[in-house]
Order: sequence, then structure tokens, then C-alpha cells
Amino acid sequence: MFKMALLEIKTLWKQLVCIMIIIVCIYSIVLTMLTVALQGTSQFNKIIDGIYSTGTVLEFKNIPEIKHNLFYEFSVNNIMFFLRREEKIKENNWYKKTSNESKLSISTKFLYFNNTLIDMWGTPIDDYEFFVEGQKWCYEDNTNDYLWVSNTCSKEHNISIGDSIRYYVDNNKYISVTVKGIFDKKIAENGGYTIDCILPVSLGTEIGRMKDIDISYNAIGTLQHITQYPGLFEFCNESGYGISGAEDQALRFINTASMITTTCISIAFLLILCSVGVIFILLSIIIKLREKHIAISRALGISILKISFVYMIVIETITTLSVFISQFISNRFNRVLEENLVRILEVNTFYLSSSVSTLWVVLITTNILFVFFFILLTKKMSKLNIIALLGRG
Amino acid sequence: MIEIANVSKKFNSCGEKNEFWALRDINLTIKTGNFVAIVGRSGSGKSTLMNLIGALDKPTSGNICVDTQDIVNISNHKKELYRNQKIGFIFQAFYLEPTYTVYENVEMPMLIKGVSFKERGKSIEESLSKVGLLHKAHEKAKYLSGGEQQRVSIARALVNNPEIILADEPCGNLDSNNSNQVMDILGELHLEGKTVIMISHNMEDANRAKRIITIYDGKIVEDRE
Repeated sequence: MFKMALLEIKTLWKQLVCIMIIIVCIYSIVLTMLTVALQGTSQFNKIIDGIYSTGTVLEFKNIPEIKHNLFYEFSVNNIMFFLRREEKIKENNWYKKTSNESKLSISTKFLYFNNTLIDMWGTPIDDYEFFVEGQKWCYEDNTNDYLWVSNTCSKEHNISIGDSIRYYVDNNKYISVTVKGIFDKKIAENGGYTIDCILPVSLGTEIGRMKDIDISYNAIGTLQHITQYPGLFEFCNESGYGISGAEDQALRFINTASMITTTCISIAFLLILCSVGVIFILLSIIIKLREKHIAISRALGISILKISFVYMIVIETITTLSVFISQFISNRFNRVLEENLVRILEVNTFYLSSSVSTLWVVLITTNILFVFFFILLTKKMSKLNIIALLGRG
Repeated sequence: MIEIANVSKKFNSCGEKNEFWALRDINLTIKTGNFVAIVGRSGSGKSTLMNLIGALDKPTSGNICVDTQDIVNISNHKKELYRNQKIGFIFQAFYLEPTYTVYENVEMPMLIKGVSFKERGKSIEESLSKVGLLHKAHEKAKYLSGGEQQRVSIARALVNNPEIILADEPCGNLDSNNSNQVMDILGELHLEGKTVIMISHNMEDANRAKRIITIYDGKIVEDRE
């Protein structure tokens, strides 16, 4: 059969090259799409990790429910990880598959502040009425050891005055602070952001120091140009008053990434379906051209199954060859896509390199579709009338 | 031995109104090793009879037995084996694959049979030697003359060492010189003990057979040794 297939390839090489060119064109796009979808996913996750790791995590040390052993065994990265998983499951179905891991999360004992207000200096926040509990804000009391949380936040996370909170700046760098007071959340609503936490400006300075960033203040000492320090305040609002949550950006990114992945996978599989359809139509034309040869082969004793297999081997060979050539071409496409994705996703780098897994996806999917193709081919072969093709005296 | 009993074949070209009886109640016995020529006008049913003997077609009624094996009511797989191993077809139009070499054309029935590479080479050389074309084994079929192409066709028919050779007007497209060469080869095959059934228009070729059967309007009108 293989020899017969080889002879057919030799005879039909011109037609087969034309088919190969068409398949290569389609599969180059398919492989590029799949590379973005499959390989991109891991990178999207890394980027999301990166976004979350720039956020702020507070650890409540003296809340009784916290399992200390569990807590201390995990690094900040792990805390981020669990937190992120939980958030993902809550916010986006795209991550539902990781739900098993989220069971390990420590029942929301880690507080993730969406918005943190640093500095009271330029704002009329010293209106003591807003402070519902604990020590009120005092302009002079500008130490690193205290912070204030909103009453909503306090209720949600069971935070009370005197709780010791660890304010993570980086993986291993943190500042320990104590909850000094609780304020009404109405106190600081700005630009649509609700402030969960107020830090003294000196703490902001300390954070800057720990991150090796110089923070300068304007004439009245307010961090008005907060966006100038993206290393520290990546997610501040436009007015420059708060540090918005990483979730906002991460979720935006997740949605974009999800859209890109879904679109790429859909296009890839639609194109695979189209390519198999195109292969079938072109092969039908070739079989029409080879009817006489098939009739002679049948007269010489070949079975319908065997002759169908011969053409399947032919088409498998050119498909596999086309996929490998497409892999080479898709690598070129990847370079172009990388630049565009970096621009669209607003990330520093995005790598796309063709992998064996994408090849397997294409080959396996194509071959599954070829099963139907083979059934149709066998039916077509059985309908050929040998006598009519060879002529009747 | 080929035994044809009460065989009829009807064709319906455009529904039942246009039905055409190509063969009517044919009874024939061909002994093993015989050289039979079937003659008759165009449309008399010669090729239909050959197609039935070669299991390429099925009779409307009647039965055909080859060496006591019924070849009408057998499975498709058995028919394919029968065509591949027991029958060697020689066609008027040669039906060679023009882009294949002589060797590859002759190799076809053996590839279908699934013979090993080594055995194939030996049998193909033998077959090509018989028809005197071993020296052209690696030439493409399309570059051969008509006579040479027919000899390649004979080599292809012989390569699986079949017991029966069915030749449908083997000299129909050849000049007298090439016709003589082909007829000589068929004569040699008969002497080797193969059953040769040949269809011919040409009485000169037919006279070289041991038995001549004349068909007219689907019926045997003459059968002489």
C-alpha cells in the first residue's frame, strides 16, 4: 500500500503541491492562532501574577481564626497565589478549573485593599466626626506604625483596633502596622474609588524607601503626582489620590486574554474544519482524474478499503508535510504577532514560539476529521463502476 | 475448468423500457489449458462474457464456476482475490499507467497481492523476460510503442502467475507485426498450460486459437475446435 501511495504521489506531484500550498496557507494561520491560545495562556497567567504581586497584601496577625502554622509556612508569593485563585474563581469563570487549589486559601483572612489613601495633609480628613472608633487622625502623629481602616472593611474582615497588620511592600519586605482607628468609608470617596485604608504619608515614604524609589512632595506635602512613580503606585487613580486594586487591572487583562484565547482557538478549529473540507474537495477532484487508474486497480484485484487507504496515505503524507512547513512559516507570523500583542496588552514582552504541542493538536484534530473523510472516500470508491470506466464491448 | 451455465446478462441503460440483453442463456465449458477465441460483431456480448468470467460483473441469471468454485455468489473479498491471483487481464487499450515505469506497471498486481520486495523483483524480471522487455524495465510506459505497451500489459497479466488469461482484443490497436508478436506470446502461454480466453475481431488471430466460439446477439451460434 505504501509503495502504491508513493507511486500515486509521484504521478500526482503537481496537483499535490498545489494542495500543499493551500494547506500550508491555512495551517500557518491555524498554528499561529493555537500558539497564541496555548502558549499565551501560561504567559497571560504570569502577567496576571505579575499584576497581583504589585498589589498590596495585609496580614492580620492577631485574629484568632488564623491558623498560624499554615500562615507562616507560606511566602508572600503563596499568599498572593491563594488570594488570586480565590479572586479569579469569584470574578471570572475562565479560571474555574483551578478551583481545587483555591480550597487551600485561608478563608479570606488576607485583606486585599482595593484603594489605599496615603497622606491626609492636603485633604480635609481631619474632620474627626468621620472616625467612628479608635484614635482619630492626628496631623502631628505621623509615624510608620499606624493605619486606619474603613468601617466596612473592618466588618468584612473582622478587623478591630489594635490588630497588628503586616503591610507587604515586596516579596520579603513588609512594614508592621497597628490598626489605630476605624473611619466611616464616606470620609474618602474620590473619583469613584472608595477608600478602604488610610496610611500616614510617612508610611508611603517608607514604602518608597523599601522599594528604592524617591518620593517627592509638592509644596503642601501631598502626593499629587503619584503616577510619576509607577514602581510604587502602579494602580493609582487618575486624580492621583489612591492606589487602586490590582484586581481591576488584572481582571481587565484576564478579560482581554480570555477574549484573545477564545477567538484564537475558535479561528484555529474553524480553519482546521475548513482545511479538511478543502482537502476533501480537492482530493475528490483528483480521484475523478484517477478514476481510470482506480478502475484498472480494481480489475487487478485491489479492494475498496485498500485503494481508499492508498489515497488516505497520500493525503496524510501531504498534510503532515504541510503542517511541518506551516510550523516554520507560523514562526515568522509569531514575531509579527508578538509586537502587536505587546501593544494591545500593554505588557513589556510577550513571547511566542511554535511548539510540538501545537503540532500535535493540529495533527490529532485533522486526523479525527479524516475518519469521516475516509468513510466518505470509501463510499465514493464503492460507487465507481469498473465496467463503465474500462469500456464494454 | 470454467463452467458457464445458463448465463444471461441484461443491461438497463435508461429504465426498463430500454433494457438490453447482452447475453442470453449461455452454456459453455472451457477446459483447463485450452486456448479459446471468442469472436463476434461489436455489441454481440463478447466483452460482457469476458467480464463475467473475470468477475468484474455479475450475470442477471445463471452460474459460473471456475475449478468448481462459484464465482457469482461469493463475497467481494473473494472476487478480488480471484481477479488478483487466478486471472490475468489483457486489455485492448493496454491500460498502463503512463507515468509509471514498465517495472512499476508490472509490479501493480503484486503490490495488490502484498508480495515482498525480493519476490516481486524476481517475478517481474521473469515476466518481462517472457515478453522480451527486460531491457526497458526502467523506461516510462508512455515512451513505449503500442506493441511494447501491449507486451508490458501481458507481463502485468502474468506476474502473479494466474491460471487464466483473459485477453480483450489484445491486437485491436496493433499493427500486424506487433499483433504477431503478441499472438506468439499468447501461444506460448497456452503451451505452458495456461487457459487463454481471447476476444478478437480478426479471424486470422482467432484461427491461432484451439477453439473458436462465435457469439451473435448474445447467443453462441458456433463453437468449433
